[in-house]
Amino acid sequence: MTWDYFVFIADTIENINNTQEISVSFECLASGFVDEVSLRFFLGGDKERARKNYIDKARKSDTKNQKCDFLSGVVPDFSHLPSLNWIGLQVDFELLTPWYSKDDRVFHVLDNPVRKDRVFGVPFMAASSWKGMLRWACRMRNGLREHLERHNNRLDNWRDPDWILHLFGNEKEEKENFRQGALVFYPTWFNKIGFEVINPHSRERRAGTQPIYYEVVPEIRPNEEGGKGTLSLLYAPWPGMKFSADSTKFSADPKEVLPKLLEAIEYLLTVYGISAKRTVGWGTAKITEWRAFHKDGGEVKESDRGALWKKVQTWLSVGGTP
Amino acid sequence: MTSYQKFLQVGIALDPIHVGAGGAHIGRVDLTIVRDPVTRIPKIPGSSLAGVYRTYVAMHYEEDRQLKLQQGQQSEQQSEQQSKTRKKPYFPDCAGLGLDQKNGHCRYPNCPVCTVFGFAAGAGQEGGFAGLAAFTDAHVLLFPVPTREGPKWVTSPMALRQIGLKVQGVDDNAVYMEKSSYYKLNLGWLLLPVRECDQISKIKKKRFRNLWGLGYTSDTSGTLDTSGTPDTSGIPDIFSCIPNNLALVPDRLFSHIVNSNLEVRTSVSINPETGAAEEGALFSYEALPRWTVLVWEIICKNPKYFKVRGQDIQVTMDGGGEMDTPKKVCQVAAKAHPYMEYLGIGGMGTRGMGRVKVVYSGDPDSGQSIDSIDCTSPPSQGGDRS
Repeated sequence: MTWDYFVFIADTIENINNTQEISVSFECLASGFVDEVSLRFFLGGDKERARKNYIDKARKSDTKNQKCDFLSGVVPDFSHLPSLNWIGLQVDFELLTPWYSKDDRVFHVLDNPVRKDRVFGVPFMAASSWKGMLRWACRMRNGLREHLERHNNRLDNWRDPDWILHLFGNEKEEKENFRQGALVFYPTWFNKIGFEVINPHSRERRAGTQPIYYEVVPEIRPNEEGGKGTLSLLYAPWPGMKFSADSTKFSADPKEVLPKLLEAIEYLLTVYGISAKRTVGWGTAKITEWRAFHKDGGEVKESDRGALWKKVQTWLSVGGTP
Repeated sequence: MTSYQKFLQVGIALDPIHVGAGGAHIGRVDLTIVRDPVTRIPKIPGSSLAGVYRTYVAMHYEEDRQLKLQQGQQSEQQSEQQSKTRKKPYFPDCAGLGLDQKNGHCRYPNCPVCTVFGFAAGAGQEGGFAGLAAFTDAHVLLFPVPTREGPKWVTSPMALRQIGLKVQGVDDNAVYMEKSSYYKLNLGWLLLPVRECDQISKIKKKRFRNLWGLGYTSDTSGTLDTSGTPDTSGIPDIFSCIPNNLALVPDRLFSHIVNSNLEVRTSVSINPETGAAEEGALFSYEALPRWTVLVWEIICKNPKYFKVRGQDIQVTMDGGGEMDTPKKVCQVAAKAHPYMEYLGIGGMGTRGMGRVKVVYSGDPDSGQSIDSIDCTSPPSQGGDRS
């Protein structure tokens, strides 16, 4: 017998008639089903059929029905924050355009599988992606575009303002004053899979060539809900983190920083987009609910950020200045 | 009165955990993680745990101190209240190396941080103190692996010994499971015959149900109540799925399976000028995957047997009373657990890495009614069917 799983599947496929139905039951998007379909695709059998098989199954798999999905809709539990100075934020959103980020998995029936958890097969957006995009959105709200226009699209002389430094920290290269940010990011789990096709056209014949499939988290459609996710982040300044203007070279007051952060979140989700291929309009969403959490203040829910900020403001004086 | 006591800690990784080995080794990733030199299984060194615990405990007491100072300023008996509150900050002073004469460790015999975690002898000062709590390395107890049947948590007799369980009869090159719909199961790329072993349900019912949240409540009081029924409040559904998806493999295969199924990620920095990937900024790193279950021990000495700079240790507990038993030393250390759930351990902490939820903190022998199982099966099992 072989100890190599993929050799074993290949043998199995060769021994049975290649046109036979997939032998493995569909458990989730990280299970034997995906391996078998991918092998059938690469072994040079009926490629179209293999791809169609995968697309049919994946599209129907609302992740809630999967046997091994414990993740979609999982959000961090902010109900017992240990510090009075911390604020947990959650923003629920529904996609208006498809969301896509390429998976690390190399062996897959599709050229462009969407990013999924390796063990559970649930589509997700990594916390590191959120951090990078939100920092960029904060910079955009703070004049990055104007700066690039003035400096011939170069970042020279750009310095992050104190509030962005305070939230996101800075690069390791900055030996002096190297600091960690006060924001902690969480991944976002999505609940649906959909497919998009792009079809490059021959410039000579003006006709489609080879359609390219993208596995995506789908957008809202008539009579069909879009993919839903929750952005979760924790504002966790450590005790003694410098806030006041009289401290050396650094000032960031949570009362001024947080409204700017909320604004950047709204712009990122509703205007800039959070997906790959943002330039063709992917990855925008509508915000359905804002939630904030505090050790003493409990939980508040609002439909717009202004109202949320009014309530969050009252918590900041309770904890005092760290 | 005992001179020391061990306390078992079980933690579940809510995120991938990356405790770096400091640079690259020849291999497929740029940033490797710390491994046990003998088994080659990734671990979290005790020194990392000790440092993280110390920092978070100092944060907890600093929050407390700030609050008392504020209340003192607001109340009538301002001077009386403030005189009771110590002036020197716990954080950052008592965290870290603390060798600075002015802003270093306070070294007071009534400081919960310096007594529990110790302090070094600074320049021109008398000797240090080793600390009342000692930390073992955190080892992998259950490791999540994708299979054709969905996720399974792999463990081995060696890993289960850490929670006091002796497992015999796991000798074949096979995967031992309570039940499976296949005769062969893949753990990642490795295909193994399945041996069904009904004894695994014993581990599930007796051990893991007890370890999942027994006596550990997720509030900040960090109480160690090792009696009564498991408290599973605030524990996500997934935790209850773990015991139903156990897969047992022999020790010699465990290390291979873990190392073949680590999370390997590629990360890149986007250049804001071009909006494209930064030149030379692409790097790959490995990490223990999400939902790995880790186990470590805190060994606590009896504070009554020690003196700090010639004086008795006199630490007041949060709920009143003195820190006078090993168990109370562990309670002080456990103040770090809520912070570990939110701020985590290891590298890339603000980018969604490193968070650990401690689901059990207490006596290693509590509530355990079985200590050995035998998985020896008749050799007729298994076959070449798929």
